[in-house]
Amino acid sequence: MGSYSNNTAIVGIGETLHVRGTERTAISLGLEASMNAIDDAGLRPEDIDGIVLPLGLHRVEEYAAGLNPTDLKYHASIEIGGASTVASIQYAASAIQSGIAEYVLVVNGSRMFSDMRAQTGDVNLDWLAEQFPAGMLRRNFEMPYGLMLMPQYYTMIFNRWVRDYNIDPDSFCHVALAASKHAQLNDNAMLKGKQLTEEKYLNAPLLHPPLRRFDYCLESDGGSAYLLTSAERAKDLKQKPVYVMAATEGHPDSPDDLCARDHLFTTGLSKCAGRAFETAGVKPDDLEFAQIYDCFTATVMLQMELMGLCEMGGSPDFVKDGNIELGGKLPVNTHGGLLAESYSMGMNHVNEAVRQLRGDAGERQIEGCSLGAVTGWGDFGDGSIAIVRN
Amino acid sequence: MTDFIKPLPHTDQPLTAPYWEGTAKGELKIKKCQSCGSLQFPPREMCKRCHSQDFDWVAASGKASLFTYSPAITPAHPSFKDDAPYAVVIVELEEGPRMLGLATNVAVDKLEIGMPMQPVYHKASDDVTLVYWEPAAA
Ligand SMILES: [Zn+2]
Repeated sequence: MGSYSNNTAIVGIGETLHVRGTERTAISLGLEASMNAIDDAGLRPEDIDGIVLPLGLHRVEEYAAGLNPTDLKYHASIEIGGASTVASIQYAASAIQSGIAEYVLVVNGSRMFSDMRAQTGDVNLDWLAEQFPAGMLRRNFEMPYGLMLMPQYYTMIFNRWVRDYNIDPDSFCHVALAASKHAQLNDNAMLKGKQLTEEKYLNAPLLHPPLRRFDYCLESDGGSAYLLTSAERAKDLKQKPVYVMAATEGHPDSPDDLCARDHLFTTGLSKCAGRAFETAGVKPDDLEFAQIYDCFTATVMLQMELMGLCEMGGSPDFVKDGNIELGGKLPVNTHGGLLAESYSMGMNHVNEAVRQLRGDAGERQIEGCSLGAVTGWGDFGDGSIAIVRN
Repeated sequence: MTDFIKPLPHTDQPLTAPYWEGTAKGELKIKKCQSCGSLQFPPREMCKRCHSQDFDWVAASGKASLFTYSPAITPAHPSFKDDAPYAVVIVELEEGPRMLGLATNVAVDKLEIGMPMQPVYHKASDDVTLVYWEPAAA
């Protein structure tokens, strides 16, 4: 087990500014982030010999056209929605470990704010359906009933969870407040300067009950990238390496449809988290931070239960009293996350884990931290997790 | 002002056409595996229990209970403006499979998981009959 464990490292990270609305193409944003990550590592674009695209709205060839690698030996497009970005670490690490490629770039450029807004009516619904797995089901059995937005799908899961485990939706507030607090310490956070208060949170309208206005992540346009190589080569590069102890993905039963699934809470993360902790040889309790995919506040809490940080139904207790804020028991989403920094497909969670483990997180640095986890959640419950150390 | 039209299902696709032929006649058709008898919804290519691809279509009774629900206070698409607030529901048929549709004849905040539900056939066009769900007597 775990042949790749600790044998690969993240050696470069890069991002663009995160904005609402841009004239630039998604690829242009992704290329800028790629160059930043390559430069951060002290490499040149021609050194890259593997490219992994989480959420393949584009093709690897389109990135290769600009980066112009000398000999691209490996490519992959990972198609499990928001779980793709963290799952990509698994693909990059296994390509490096097996000797197929030496320097693998993971890059995402996206215009989620500019291109994906069904609410305005100017999105082609046949196209939108095909952005999901089993687009035929979405288009024919869901869209005709007014179901087409991510919060609606998640709410199907949340309402059953709230009822089965007696969850108080007011507890979601703690996740939103922690994210907002952390964003105030991050110059690239879109909500820096707009701190949320408990009063403001509780008074905001319910949009998809039990979700209120501030339970939703941001919509943004931008690019993010990170770069992996072997632990051996990492020693000679510019930055302090961040080692991949484990990276796994998992899929719920009937992964492309909620109706056909026997158990709503047997998800990708509940299957893959145990494998990751076993490979890494650590326990959930050992973590010093967690960057948890936060498309919604409730997604964070549900994942805490599914990955074993607490038992099912235990997350409202876990997140209270500042426990998930900097200085608390387990700081979560120390950059502000998707809720308060930017959407970025969750790429930003990986980059923040790297910053923390390098000691580069500035005002929000967790002093002396050496071990953390990053999760992803995508489509209808696909999951991924990486456990990383310095 | 653009007039937004609700997205109707494509009813002529081989995998799903028998379902829509059923709803037009007020029937809830689901696939039954010829090999192991498993019932399936939504209609797919393969039986996940025994991996057969041979199916019959049988009519479900329509007796169901609310499995979970997703309320939309604002519409997901402008064509649902007049429906909002509305709720999309997943119901569990007494035969086992679950189905998804729009809740009707019930306020969004009156939905309760486990409540009995029954189908309401809604003729959306000459060719398409959708299935909505309303509370049923216990
Ligand atoms: Zn069968």
